[in-house]
Amino acid sequence: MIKLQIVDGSLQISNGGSVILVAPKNSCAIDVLALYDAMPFIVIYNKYLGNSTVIFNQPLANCEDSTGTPFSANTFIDFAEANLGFDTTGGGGGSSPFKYNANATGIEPCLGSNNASGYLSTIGGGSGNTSSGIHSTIAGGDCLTADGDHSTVGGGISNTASNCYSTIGGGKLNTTLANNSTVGGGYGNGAFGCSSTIGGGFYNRIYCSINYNSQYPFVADTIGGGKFNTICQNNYIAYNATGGNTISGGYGNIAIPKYGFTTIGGGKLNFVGSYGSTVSGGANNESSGFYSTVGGGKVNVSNGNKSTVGGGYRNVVSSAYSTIGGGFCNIASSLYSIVGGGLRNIANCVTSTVGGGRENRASNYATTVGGGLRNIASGTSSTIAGGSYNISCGTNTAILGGVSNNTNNFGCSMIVGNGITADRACTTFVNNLSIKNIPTSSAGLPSGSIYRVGNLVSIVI
Amino acid sequence: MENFTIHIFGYGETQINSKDLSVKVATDTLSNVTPLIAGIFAKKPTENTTKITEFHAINIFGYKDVRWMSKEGFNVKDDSDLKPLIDALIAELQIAKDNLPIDAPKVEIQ
Repeated sequence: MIKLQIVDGSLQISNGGSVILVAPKNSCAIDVLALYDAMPFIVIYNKYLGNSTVIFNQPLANCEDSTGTPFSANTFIDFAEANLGFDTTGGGGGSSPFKYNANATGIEPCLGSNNASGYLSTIGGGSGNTSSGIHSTIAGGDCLTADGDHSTVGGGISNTASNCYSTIGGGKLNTTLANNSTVGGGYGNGAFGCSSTIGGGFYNRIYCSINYNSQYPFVADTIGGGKFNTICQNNYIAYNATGGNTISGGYGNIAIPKYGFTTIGGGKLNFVGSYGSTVSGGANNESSGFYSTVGGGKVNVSNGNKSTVGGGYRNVVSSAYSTIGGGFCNIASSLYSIVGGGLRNIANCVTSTVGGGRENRASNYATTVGGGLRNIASGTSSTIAGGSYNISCGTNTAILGGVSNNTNNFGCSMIVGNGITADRACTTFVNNLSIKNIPTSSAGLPSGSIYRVGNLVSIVI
Repeated sequence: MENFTIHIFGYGETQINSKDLSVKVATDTLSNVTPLIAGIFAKKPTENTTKITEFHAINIFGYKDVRWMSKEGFNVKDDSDLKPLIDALIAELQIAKDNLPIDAPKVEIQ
């Protein structure tokens, strides 16, 4: 065996105890490629005179270190890096840490087991990387794959850019499977839709959709970051109805974009499921009507077209153009119905409104309950301003407030009092009436007006 | 039918909203509400102490999501057992709408 060792600052090579070469160690360089040939050789040359000045050339299998341990390719490289004026030779000649791939066009580092097998592909560093797409690039990192043409992986571990023009910046276990798709970084993200982008985060997914031209969506889908967010597959084919879906961040949010252009701003476990629907944030909210919106809160549902829930908890809007501002367990379930807030209020007829309060109900056309407790406006165009347990049940009736008043189906009756049940239409009912500033003359007053002369009250006939 | 919402209100009305059918009728005129409520209630988690008569509303979002809205509410998700009961109610609501006179007086429940 031939022993290679450093003695007094020089490389000393001996064979069977006889020194056959002594050279200044800093002048020695090695040919790394020769270590990986089918028949590996240790080739040492004078680095100052070029790689044609070979001073040692013997099979690797015949060489050992100072302890008598046979060299492997890696242990000899370690020995050279530690002791010699280490340098390498590239395929193009001269000193370079890079070499040409066997395809003679790809460029890869001399060190590490990289494979730039794609035409004019490039691997800048790292190990275990494969750049097999035409003009593909891997900057560094480990176990990376760029097998899409013109694809790029910046770094990280175990990332795969598998379609044309796709890009992964870094991170770990990220995948791009569609043209022009991008993952910036993070862990376990998958951009499977054409032109889709995932900025980062953890296990986010954008699935491939069937798009209007079978390739590209009208506007690409995007997930900014967060964790376990998903933009699902879209099987609805229309020119302008695919893509444009966005999940900015958050956790476990899902967009099922039958028609596209859905948005989830953030929050947790939110769901959007129709064209142009939005959940801005909050948790467990659902927006599944065309252009419907949930601003925030928790467990709210807005599934009427162009309907809105601003926030609150467990509110439901189920009809078009209807709105709930906030509150708890409110329902707006007919066209143009509104619940401003409060607790367990219901507006379930066209253009009905409950402003707030608790357990109020506006259940006929154009009815209104301003607030209060357990008021029911059930006559068409009837109104209850407030109070408790009032029932406004004739057409165009009204109750200002009080407790337990009932218009009793007498149309246009009004109640301003307490505990009153109407018994005549077009009549205003009060418990007591106190009129201030009574006119003292009938002059100029219309019929029905009250005036007084001294202590005598009269009505203009 | 898909993409429908049914509200069974505790005060005694039942309403459906969908692309094809939207109507609100008194619950006591519908024979298929009670079995549906019973079917949903049977799915209640055992630790939930809600009584079958205690609900502000029961919201049915398609066949996949039923939400019992009460002080101690609960949800039933993706339960195929409820589909025939829901379909029966939808059919009855369709009949109720078909039978309404064009200018039928509105239901007023106090």
